[in-house]
Amino acid sequence: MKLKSMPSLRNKKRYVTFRVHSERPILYSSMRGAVTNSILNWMGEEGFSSANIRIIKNLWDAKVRTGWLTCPPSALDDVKMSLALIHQIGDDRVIFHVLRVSGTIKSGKKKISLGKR
Amino acid sequence: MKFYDYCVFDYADGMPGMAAELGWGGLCLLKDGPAGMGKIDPVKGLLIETEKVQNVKKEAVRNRKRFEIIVASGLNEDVNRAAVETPEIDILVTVEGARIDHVMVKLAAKNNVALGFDFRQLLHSSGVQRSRIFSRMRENAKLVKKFRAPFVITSGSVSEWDMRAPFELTAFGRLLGFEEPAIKEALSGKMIENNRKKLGGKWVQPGVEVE
Repeated sequence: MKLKSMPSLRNKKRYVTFRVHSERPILYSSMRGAVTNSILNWMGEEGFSSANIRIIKNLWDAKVRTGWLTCPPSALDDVKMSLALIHQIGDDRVIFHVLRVSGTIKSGKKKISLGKR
Repeated sequence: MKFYDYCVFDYADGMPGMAAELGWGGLCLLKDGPAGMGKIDPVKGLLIETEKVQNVKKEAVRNRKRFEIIVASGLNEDVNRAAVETPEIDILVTVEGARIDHVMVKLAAKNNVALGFDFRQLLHSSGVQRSRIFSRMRENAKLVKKFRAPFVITSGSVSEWDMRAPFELTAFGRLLGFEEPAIKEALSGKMIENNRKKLGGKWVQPGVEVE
């Protein structure tokens, strides 16, 4: 049985879409490791746990190197900063570029395809 | 709205393409770069990096009419002080987020010298060093806010891999304690527009222009 919290007690969340610019293809596992480490370094363990940040595996697109993560609205700036502070994955130099912040996956996808911020 | 990166310390071939992809409208090149960069507006800048106080004003006055933006990089406190006392200088970027006091911030506000917050100093540091630099930057930002001194947020890039998008730098600005409209103004091309007007030849003094 899947446990669900009451709708009124659920925390608000935002979906952050980002693109990884790099010279070579990036694996999901290495991207995930880099993002987690950077957020842990910037926000600390306490901040990371209270923010309840999740990287969505199904939405990682290895071809265009775009990924999605969820975080509460209050932690948005810290998450953006943590992503911006990643400059290397393994030996490859990378840039994490936040494309869009949205309330739902559907609206995020729609706005990315329209090229809006 | 066009965003400008005011401190690009070195030019690399991949920069214009990456800048366009990240959403920049213009780059201020502090070392030699190409005259045209496609969609990106190239801004001619000068970096004054000296340990001698007397050289700051001399260099700034001599080069004012040749460059659109003049940036001073303070290697010590005396140079920082000399830079904020010189109205010919547009931006002062402190090394490793070195602290500046209220007197210097007041002078910067009076002489319209913008204080630069360089993202690269955080990007290439880690652990205790990064936290110290960020805490110094926060202290400086508090003073800048209090005395309403102009400021800019820059990526301080030396290669295309150091560049960050304007919206990431906006998040950096918000974490420093600045308000959104002030950050947008800091990233806009207002300073360049004013300086281009002054260098155009028709400008005499604020409010007076020759037709």
